[in-house]
Amino acid sequence: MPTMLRIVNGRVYDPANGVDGEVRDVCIADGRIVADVAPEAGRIDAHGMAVMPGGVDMHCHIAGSKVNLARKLQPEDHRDDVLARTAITRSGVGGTVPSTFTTGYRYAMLGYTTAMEAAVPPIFARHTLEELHDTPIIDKGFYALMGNNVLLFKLLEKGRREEFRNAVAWLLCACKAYAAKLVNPGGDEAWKGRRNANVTQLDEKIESFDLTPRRVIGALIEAVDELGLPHPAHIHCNNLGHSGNFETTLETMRIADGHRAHITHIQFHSYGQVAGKSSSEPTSKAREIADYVNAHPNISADVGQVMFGKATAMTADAPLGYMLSRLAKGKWINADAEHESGCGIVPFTYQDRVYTHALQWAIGLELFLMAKDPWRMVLSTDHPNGGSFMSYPKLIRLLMDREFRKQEMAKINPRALRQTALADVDREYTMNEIAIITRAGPARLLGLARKGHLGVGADGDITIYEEQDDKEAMFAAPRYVIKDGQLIIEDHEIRTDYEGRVLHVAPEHDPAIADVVRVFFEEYYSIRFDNYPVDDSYLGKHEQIPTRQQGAAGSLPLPNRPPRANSMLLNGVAVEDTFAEAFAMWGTRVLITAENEKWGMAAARAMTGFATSVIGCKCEAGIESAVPAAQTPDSRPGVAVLLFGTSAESVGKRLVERIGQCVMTCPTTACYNALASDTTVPVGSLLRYFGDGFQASKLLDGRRFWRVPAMDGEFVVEDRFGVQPAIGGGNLLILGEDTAPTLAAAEAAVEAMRSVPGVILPFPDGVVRCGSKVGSRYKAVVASTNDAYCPTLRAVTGATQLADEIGCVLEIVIDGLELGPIEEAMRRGMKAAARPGVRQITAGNYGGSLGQYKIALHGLLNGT
Amino acid sequence: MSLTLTMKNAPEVPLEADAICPERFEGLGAAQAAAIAVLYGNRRAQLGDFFGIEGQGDGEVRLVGDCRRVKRIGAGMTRGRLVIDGDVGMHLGAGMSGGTIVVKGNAGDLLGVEMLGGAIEVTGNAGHLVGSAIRGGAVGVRGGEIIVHGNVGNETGSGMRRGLIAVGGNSGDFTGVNLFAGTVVVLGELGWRSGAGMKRGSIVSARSADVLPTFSYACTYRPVMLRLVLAHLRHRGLPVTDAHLSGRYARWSGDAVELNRGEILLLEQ
Repeated sequence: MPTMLRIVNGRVYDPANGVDGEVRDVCIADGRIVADVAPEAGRIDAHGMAVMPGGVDMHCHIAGSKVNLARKLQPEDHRDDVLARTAITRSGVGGTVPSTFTTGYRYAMLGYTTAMEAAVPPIFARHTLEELHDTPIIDKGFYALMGNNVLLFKLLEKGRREEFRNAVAWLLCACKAYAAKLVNPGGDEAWKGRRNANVTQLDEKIESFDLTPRRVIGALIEAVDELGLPHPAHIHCNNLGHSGNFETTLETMRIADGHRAHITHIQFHSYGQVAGKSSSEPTSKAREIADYVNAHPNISADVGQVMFGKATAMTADAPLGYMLSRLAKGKWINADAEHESGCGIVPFTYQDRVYTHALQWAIGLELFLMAKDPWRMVLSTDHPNGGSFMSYPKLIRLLMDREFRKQEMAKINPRALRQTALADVDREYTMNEIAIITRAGPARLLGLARKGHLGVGADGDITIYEEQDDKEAMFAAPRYVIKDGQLIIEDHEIRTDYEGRVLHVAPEHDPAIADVVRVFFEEYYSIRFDNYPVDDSYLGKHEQIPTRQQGAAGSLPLPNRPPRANSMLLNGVAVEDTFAEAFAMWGTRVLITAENEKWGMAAARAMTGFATSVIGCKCEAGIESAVPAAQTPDSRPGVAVLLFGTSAESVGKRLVERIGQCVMTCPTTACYNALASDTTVPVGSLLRYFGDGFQASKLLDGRRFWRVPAMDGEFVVEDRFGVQPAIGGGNLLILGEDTAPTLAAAEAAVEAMRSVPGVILPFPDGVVRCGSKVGSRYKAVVASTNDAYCPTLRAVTGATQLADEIGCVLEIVIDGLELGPIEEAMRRGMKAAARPGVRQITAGNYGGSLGQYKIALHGLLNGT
Repeated sequence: MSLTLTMKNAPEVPLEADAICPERFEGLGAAQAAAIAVLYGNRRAQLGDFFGIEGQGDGEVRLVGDCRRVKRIGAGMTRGRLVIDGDVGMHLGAGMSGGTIVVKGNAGDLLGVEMLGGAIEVTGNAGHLVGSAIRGGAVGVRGGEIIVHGNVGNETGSGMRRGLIAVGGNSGDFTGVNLFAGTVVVLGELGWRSGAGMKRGSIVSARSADVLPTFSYACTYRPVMLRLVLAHLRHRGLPVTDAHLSGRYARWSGDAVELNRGEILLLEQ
């Protein structure tokens, strides 16, 4: 095995270091990423492949007492999924709770190199460490349960904060954990004493203690921060799975009050409730939860996506286990770990036709798709609670492939889908974002400075995937997986066994706390105090990750902004070397015919009038061209209109509104679909009802039309209109000395652009005077004046992009069904605008972080 | 490459020839095709007993000769192209759901009976019950297109549920009887009692007609939808004129003994 390796020709995705798909070398030596290696180093040719840091699963249940109970509970799961021993690998069984060796191999086979067991009572740490020792290849660790710890409660209720913090530190050191975990804080005490009892309010008294869940949560969040732990308090909120629990989640996040806090499997905590229904018909509150997380940088989360099929619920939330067992109606286990935690294990199958399950699935996706900061809303299924980790590739495909997502959405309970905004969301995750939510983000949230990135000094944990359109297939089978610079998987096969490291923390604390703990121990525990802490022999290969006080490395580098560069001259006007950032939208083409051109145009103008920007008008539309009578279905003069929206469904709604209000109302018109597409939206199908039962339909040559009786005869409108993915937001910014020449240049550009078929300029007569930027100092305002390009603000805004001779900036926005025509329009527009009085032509973008398309200005002029 | 079946021994009683269906011949050679079973009266026979067969079955299937006693040709076909060079018997294309049949001659009764899709074109005349339901059947044609360039008999489009029937010549009586929906266009003259029992749907004629007393006059106007239909038929080779396309049509609503949502459109002369 070569100790030096150079990976060449691969497309590197390293979001932490601002590398997004660039082809560049990655060099490894002695288990770490280095800047360069000698020519004789081993080489991997990653041509046609994506190179990423190894995956990091920051919340899964893979090793320890409850996991093993779950294995024992389900022999039927293992019978069908047996792994025979090979020369290199140990035997094992799979299913939703694989045996230890199989767990390690399978994580590695997916390209994951680190996984964290999410919930271990300190008293069972030994069991977890022994199983982790038998979990090959990956680096690993676990979180110690503290949210129902009786010792900690006793200290806290007496206000002994110093001792509380020291006891937390002592426990982490004693059990070799990585982080502090809270599960349904305060709920176990009630459950221990009474059937089906739990806490449901954050300010409710915890049974037998002068405490509330709020106090426990707050104290642990603060203690963890004070101890400088690399990862914040990891919280499984109260009321998991209950309708209306989103309030509890919001309240819990508010407790953090600026401190870091991580909310785990947040999907299960994002439910609303149908008003007035006391029992549990949940609804989606993904928007509220996502908005809160988006707006509070101190909060992070992993989603806890539900995936249809078999799962195993295994949780320290014992009352939850009981609730699930009533639903699943099969065998289950409930247990209590003395003074520390509860436990519930329930085999569970998620079905796409069941309302609640479908809702959970959709809410998880909503959370992903509504997240503004992928660094803080990372991927998990709470394996195996929401689904097996083997389903991660399918989940990735759901996020990256909107068409696939739509197909899957079509299979689920439609009533559940309607409860969510999922059908309206068209976002597709980019490779960069996937690399964030599966690697860079979790590593950063865990405070693992050498993981999740490929900068110099990082651990040599690398996954190389063959690029494919089918993202599920792509992520299900990496071609190469490298761990600590060792080639573990080559050509999809495991080549060598390997032992990863147990990652743990050992926060500073007052050693005297041990005496306090001992007193409690000797009185209440069933084992002796000296047998409780885990000695190093259980660790095997391990690494202690420093706390802040112990000199933790600074946080991972933030993504870089692309540097500004040079200009190119076009007729003496400087064209900046930048790109217009355009967005994936959905679009359609509509053909309006009428008895004559005058009335066709009247309808088209009305339909496309208030349609300048999706932000305020919900769609963007414009007249594409007149269409001669010989080319229309009814051989009357026509007008083609293009309309764009954020989703296929949204485009459909706008078509119904606008055709109904502006075309149908106009004398002699008819309205036909002019876009062939497999994806269609109902238009005539809905407008027909205006006929009040007198409407009639005709099917001709596979196209259905509706004849809506009207006072001048009939309004003929096609049943369904084609929609397709389209692009919006192509743009040019024209910077001139003064308004008059800049406006003249903009007008010339508009005229040149109008000759390009397939595009429209949504703003009135094509020119925008108040270009906007995303966001505002005002919370309620989503877009605000683009101060960087306001000449009057040049001297007062820190963001200005203007030289002092600029007196006026005008923008032209272009939407189109395909990229090519937008590029052509921008090319023609630039050439027409490069006139006297114009100093510079540039374009608007967001650093490439929001839009799916980047249209490089120089590229357009160079003809590339 | 096409497969050609040339009539050599005309049957004395009708031949039940469902087997003559393009997909049935896919990949078959002449000898194999000749061996295909047909029902001759109540006897089992083979295609080769009546037809000389040449070629390969991987394209068009052609029938040549007088096939007036060959029934159910193309029945149930789902794809492919069938061309009949001569007259053809009853039930041509019965229940077909795809593919195209072209008859360069005349067709018998029950042309395209209970058709689901696909297209039939007849250059000559057709018999009664074009595009209809089988006697006793509730619903007739559910989709597809039937074009007859010549004349048709009675009960054209009876019980039709969806689809398009177009006649270049005249139609007999009871055109569109019990029509559920769909469109019947007759460029020539309609016979008596058109649209009797129609619920919805459209019967169009380029000539005037006597209309049942259960139909009521609505208005005379230029129906835009008709422009689409007639343009389509013109494209298919029917002699649609500009006068047909842009003319004014009298609209008669009926049948009042049923749903009264049907229409008969008669070109203003």
